[in-house]
Amino acid sequence: MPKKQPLYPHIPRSHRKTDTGTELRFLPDSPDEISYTTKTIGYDVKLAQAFQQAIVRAKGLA
Amino acid sequence: MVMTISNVIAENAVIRTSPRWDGMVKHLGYVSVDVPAGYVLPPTIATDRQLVVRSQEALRKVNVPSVRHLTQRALTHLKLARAIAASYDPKMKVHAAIIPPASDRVRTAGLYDMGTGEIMLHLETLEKARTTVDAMVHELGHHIAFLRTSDPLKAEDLQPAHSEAMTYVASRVFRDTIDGEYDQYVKEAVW
Repeated sequence: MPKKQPLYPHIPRSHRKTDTGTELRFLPDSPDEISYTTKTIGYDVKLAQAFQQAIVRAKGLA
Repeated sequence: MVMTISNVIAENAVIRTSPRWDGMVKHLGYVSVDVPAGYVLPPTIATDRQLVVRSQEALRKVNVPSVRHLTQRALTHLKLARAIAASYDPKMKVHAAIIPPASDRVRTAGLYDMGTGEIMLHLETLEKARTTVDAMVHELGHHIAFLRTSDPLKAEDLQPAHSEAMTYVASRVFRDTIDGEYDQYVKEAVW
């Protein structure tokens, strides 16, 4: 028996009725803003080193 | 004497109606300016509130494609993003998305929806693990700041609650990564 398909395509919650109590609901971030803030809190290099080591470990190259 | 302001105002300026919007206006690539008494505004210059409302309406059109349509690399990084989110809230939704530009001056790499508590990551963001992780730290910072304060203003970019929450998230992600928590998600990752 073929797997049942949903009756409706996926509707993200963001398209549903919501209310934050203000005119502001979405907080958008540009690529530059995201990169800048990671540097601002001092974690850009730390996270880069930690994940690069994790990738090496995961690939079995360590 | 009545003067028009269009010849003395920058292209990226909007009229300030409330300092409440200053942060978001800057975020959208504009600056808020006060209008001196005696000046008449041409209708082409928007107010800060109009800019924000237009941006919010544009962002409402975010499109979430099926994961079947993602590149293998984007899917790998989406799973990593979801694993990071799950360490804070197992029910939290993180979507790959095509997000409209927030204004005619800035693209949108990531989005936090305060109405649903969901995070959207643009497909381009998901092409690299670095941009994915940075975006998750940033968006989870919005999420935690909003949950802690219940105040959209305090959850905005680089407000103290947002900076504090981002630092908290980044420190935990850093520690968990060192501890190998995400190793199973990064085998195919591209930093």
